[in-house]
Amino acid sequence: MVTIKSIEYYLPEHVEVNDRNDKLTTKIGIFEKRIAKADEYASDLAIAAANQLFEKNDIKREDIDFLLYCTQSPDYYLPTTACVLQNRLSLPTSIGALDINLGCSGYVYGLSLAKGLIESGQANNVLFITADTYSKFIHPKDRSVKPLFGDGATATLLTAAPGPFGLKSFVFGTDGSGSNNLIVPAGGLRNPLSEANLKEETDAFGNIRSNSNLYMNGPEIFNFTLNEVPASINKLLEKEGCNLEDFDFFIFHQANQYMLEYLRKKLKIDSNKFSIQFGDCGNTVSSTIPIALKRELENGKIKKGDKVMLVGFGVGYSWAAASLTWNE
Amino acid sequence: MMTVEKFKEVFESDIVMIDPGFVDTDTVLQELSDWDSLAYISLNACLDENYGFTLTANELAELSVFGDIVKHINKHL
Repeated sequence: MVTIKSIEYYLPEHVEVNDRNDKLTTKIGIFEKRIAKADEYASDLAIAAANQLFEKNDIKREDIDFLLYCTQSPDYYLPTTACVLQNRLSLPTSIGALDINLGCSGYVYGLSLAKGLIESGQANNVLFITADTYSKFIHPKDRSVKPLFGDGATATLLTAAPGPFGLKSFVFGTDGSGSNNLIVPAGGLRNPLSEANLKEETDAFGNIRSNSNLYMNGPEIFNFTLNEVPASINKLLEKEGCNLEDFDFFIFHQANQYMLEYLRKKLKIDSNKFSIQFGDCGNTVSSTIPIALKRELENGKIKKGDKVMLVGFGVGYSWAAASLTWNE
Repeated sequence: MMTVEKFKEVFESDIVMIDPGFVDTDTVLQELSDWDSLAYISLNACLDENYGFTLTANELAELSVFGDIVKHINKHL
């Protein structure tokens, strides 16, 4: 089986606080976020997370044979940031390296790709990094996104191990009809940065943004989540031939308190089996699941032999769910 | 299923956080200080939980008075 051997995460030093007296803060359950400095980029956070993985664990750089890098905050259009990271991390030139452009579903997709690479014999030790700095896309006066998103990075080492522990089933979903509901409209080739695209506008709720900023249609994202998350969980249960009660712990993409609590209650999942790990770091996009996984392991909520469900969902729309049995 | 009267109470207490009995059919939603994008989401959560449907972002934007929400609910009763 392919197992997660270790996980480390890195959050930038600068803390941004949400007003505790604001009822929005209580509803979203996010009190602080870590924000990258002006000259600190997702790849820098990625390097910090990966270096921590090498320093804190018995892992040698020369043992890595594949690097997967999930980000929506790449350094350049080209080259691929994963190639830049190979050099900056002093990884062997014999590795394969590629970027995955996915957001909140990205961790589950990356695990699936790593499993495929290892099980098919193409790689032995996959280094899978997630990193994003959505803060750089967010207008400071847009309350529909600013209180939610934090910056961060994670590094996961995946490897083959004998025995019944590791990554099991995956299910996926994609619906590009929702692509306009969570988007940075300008700055790519189709809609390049221009004076018009930098013009700030105020929406019906008084939020300010330009086309070069992150836009989120909250109600539509909420509706998408309500429909697709329970459906994908049912698909996973069907694939595994088991019930929700057979799972010992659940880690959903850590979007915000309101959405997660609503989903938890709708699905009738016990709050003791359900990860809530964003109060001090916000929604860190593809890094939320590995951060939560690491923290739940550290606080003993996930133990050896536990059956764990991971569910990622968001920008795209893209979603995926996975089951695994924890190894150590 | 939740009665419309009960829905009105939940709308007042949980969605726009206003004194009980304040809202009636003709209450203009835009005039409620807590009628914002978070209220949209809370409304959809409430509709999903109690009536099994949600409103699209366009339908939400078209709501003018409280009675417009009740009209949507009546279609699903």
